[in-house]
Formats: sequence, C-alpha cells, structure tokens
Amino acid sequence: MKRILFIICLALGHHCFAQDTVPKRIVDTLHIQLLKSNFTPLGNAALSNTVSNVALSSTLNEGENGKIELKYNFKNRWTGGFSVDQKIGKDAKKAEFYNFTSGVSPGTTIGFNIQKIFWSPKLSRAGFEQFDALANAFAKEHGVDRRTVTYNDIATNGTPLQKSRLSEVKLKAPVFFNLKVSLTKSNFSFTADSVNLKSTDVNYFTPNLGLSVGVPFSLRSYLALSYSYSKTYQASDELTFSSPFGTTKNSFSQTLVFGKPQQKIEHKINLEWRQSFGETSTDFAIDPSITYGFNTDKMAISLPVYFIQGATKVGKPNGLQGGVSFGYLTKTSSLTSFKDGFWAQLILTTPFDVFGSLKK
Amino acid sequence: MKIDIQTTANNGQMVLFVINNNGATILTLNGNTKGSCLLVPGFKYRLEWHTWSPEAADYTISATVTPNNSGFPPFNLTKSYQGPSSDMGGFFFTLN
Repeated sequence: MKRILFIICLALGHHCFAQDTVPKRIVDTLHIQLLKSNFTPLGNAALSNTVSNVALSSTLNEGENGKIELKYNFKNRWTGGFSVDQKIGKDAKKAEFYNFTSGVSPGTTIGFNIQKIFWSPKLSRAGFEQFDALANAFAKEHGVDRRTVTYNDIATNGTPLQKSRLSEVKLKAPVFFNLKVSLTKSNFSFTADSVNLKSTDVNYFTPNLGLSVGVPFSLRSYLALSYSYSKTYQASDELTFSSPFGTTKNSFSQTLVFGKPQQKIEHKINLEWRQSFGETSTDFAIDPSITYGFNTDKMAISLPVYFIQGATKVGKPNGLQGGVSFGYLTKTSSLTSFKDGFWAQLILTTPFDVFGSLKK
Repeated sequence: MKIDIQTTANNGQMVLFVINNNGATILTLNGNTKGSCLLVPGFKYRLEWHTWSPEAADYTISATVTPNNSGFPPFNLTKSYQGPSSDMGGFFFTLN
C-alpha cells in the first residue's frame, strides 16, 4: 500500500507547480462542535468540483491545509479525479505528503473521485415534429436559415402562440452521479501502561466513502441526495502524570494520552437544494441542506444565504462570494433547545455556483 | 453517401443525434468529437442536437455530406451563450 501511495505522490509531484491558489474559505468557528464531532453539513457538498480535462488545482493555506487535485474527462461523460490533501502545522509553509523515511505523512488524505453524467435529451418523434413546425414558421417570419433556428430563438423572439406551443416541448437536463473514496492516515501517541508510562505510536488508515446523485430542476436550481460513510479514530483524554526525579525530592510531570484511540464509524445522508435568484444576473442564492447521522443520531439543518458579490483583482464582478449561514444541530431522540443548537457563521468563499463548479 | 459531423463544446454539455425514419439513432456525438455514418438517398432523416451548461458556453457543429448532395448543403452552426443555458435545434432532411 505504501509503495502504491508513494508512486502516486511521486507522479503528482511533477504537476504541483505554477497553479493559482484558490481563495481560502474562511468561516467563523461558532460551529466547532460540528467539526469536532465529524458532522459538517458544509462539508457534505454532493458534488465535488469537476470537470475540465486534465485540470489541476492546488491550495496551500498555511497552518491549515494543503491540497492538490487532478481531474480528467473520459469519454461518454465519465470524469475521474485524484486528490491529495494534507493537514499542516501552524508554522508550516509547505505540505509534505510523503517523505522517504516515514512514508505517507500523518494527516494526509488520498482520494479518488468518479463522476458520471447521464443525459438522454432526445425528443420523441411527436415532440420533434412540434418543434420542427414551430421552427419552420419562425424561419419564414424572420427570414433566417431554417436549420439554424433553435429552441431558445423561438422562446425568446417567437410570437406568444409559438411560445405557448413550444412550452409543450420539454427539454431534459442531465443527472449527475458521483462516487468519492478516500483514505486518511492518522497518527496517535498514547500510553496504556500506567506503571512505566511507555508511549506508543500507532498509525491508522481510515476510509471514507461518498455517493451522491444530483438532479437540476432548472438552470438555477439543483437537488442532490448523498450518502457518506466514514471511519475515524478519536484520541482519548489527556492525563498529566507526576513522577519523582531520581532520588531527589524533585518531580517532573508529563502529559500523555491514556488509552487507545476510539474507533468511530458514521453513516450520514444529506439532502441539499441550491437555488439562485435574479432577473439577469444572480442577486442572491440559498443552499439549504439537511444531514442525518445514523450512528450519532444527530441531525443538522443549515441554510447558507449568499448575497455579497465578489470581485476580481481588477474590480470585475465574479459572482456571489459571501453571506451568512444559519444552522441547527440536534439529537433526533430529544430535540436540542434552539439556544444550544443554533449557530450562525459568516461565509467568505469562492463564487457560489448552483452546480458546484460543474464544467466541461 | 456519407455524412461527416464534427462538434465542439466549450464549457458545456452537448449531444448530437442522427436519427432515421424509424426513430432509430444511427449516430450519437458527445461534446468535442467527430463521427460519420452512411445515409441512403430517398430516406428521411433528422439531425437533432442539445446543449446544456450552468455557465457561459460555446458550441459548434460542422456537417457535410460526401459526395455533395443538394438535399444536405454543408451545415455550420456556431452558438455562444453568455450565461446558463439549455437549448436544442434540428431539422429533417432527405438526400437526393
């Protein structure tokens, strides 16, 4: 396993340069409870960023996270992606995914992503004949080449009657399917020996699996259902031990984690709706979602509202980039009071995209 | 006779069909690709294309029949959309 991961990391090493950094997502930490309990509604986006051929993105937020992501479009609307994500220390200025002495670094997540777009928009014979009749009339009235007339031409410049008849011809949107598998390496130091206080190091590779299906209802709205499985380990509590220092009357103390890390398995489902509003441009957007964790018996509801327009370095608008997110986390067995379960956070992020930056 | 079709899709999804009179699809092209199929004079066909994108996108279609046939003059279409778009077009044709 180590050898395979090493080869992959080595291969990616050639692609890790000259990439723009993606704006860092800055969030308030009021929902730290969510993060600690591995229950992050905002991290449950049904769609990963896709899809441009041989696309590579990399990020490095000092003291937090370093990430590279490689994506490729295959035939028949299949897309594959590979990513390496590394948690880094507060003072680190580079993310070291792998080194020769210790292998894959702790805090590294290696992920694979597959996306398939299902789309069968072919009209029925009757539907096409209806469009053909409308297009023939439109071309005649406007003096244009019949073969270049499109659905949108009629919908925009047709007569009210033509528009009405055209609305009977329904266009189909694609359906997106996404599978994400990742492995995270975690390292723990602990002692299980209360006599000698001998410290033990242990590494775990923990799997994560995510499945999602997304259905656009229009060009401004999108519904996604996703399931995720994760296995994690949580360190036990820290204890401080005081021991005599030789035969002197002095003593020294050391803080150790006592006991093996606890394994934690979580199954979650998430339902997410993205909707943007506005006449011509997007004035504001919402991204409500509801997440349920089967093992923890917790439910989170979140409602991010985006209304702050972002701008490029030259002052050109580049879409909604900020807003406020409201949420509520509760046990389903007994509802948490609103005061304890409610949270709010500021959002400053990359531009909002109804379809999660889906690109061809 | 043969029809050669080339499609390009920049930033969006595109699919093009050539369908015979029985409703059977005899050629499907997805995105940036090209393809060809044989056509029989006297039979009615339809060429149908669809595009979809959540952002600005550009598409082109270029189709020619060899040898030249008055039933299908060379067809070139370029479409640009400045924002999210879903569109389609198409026509019936019969080779002489």
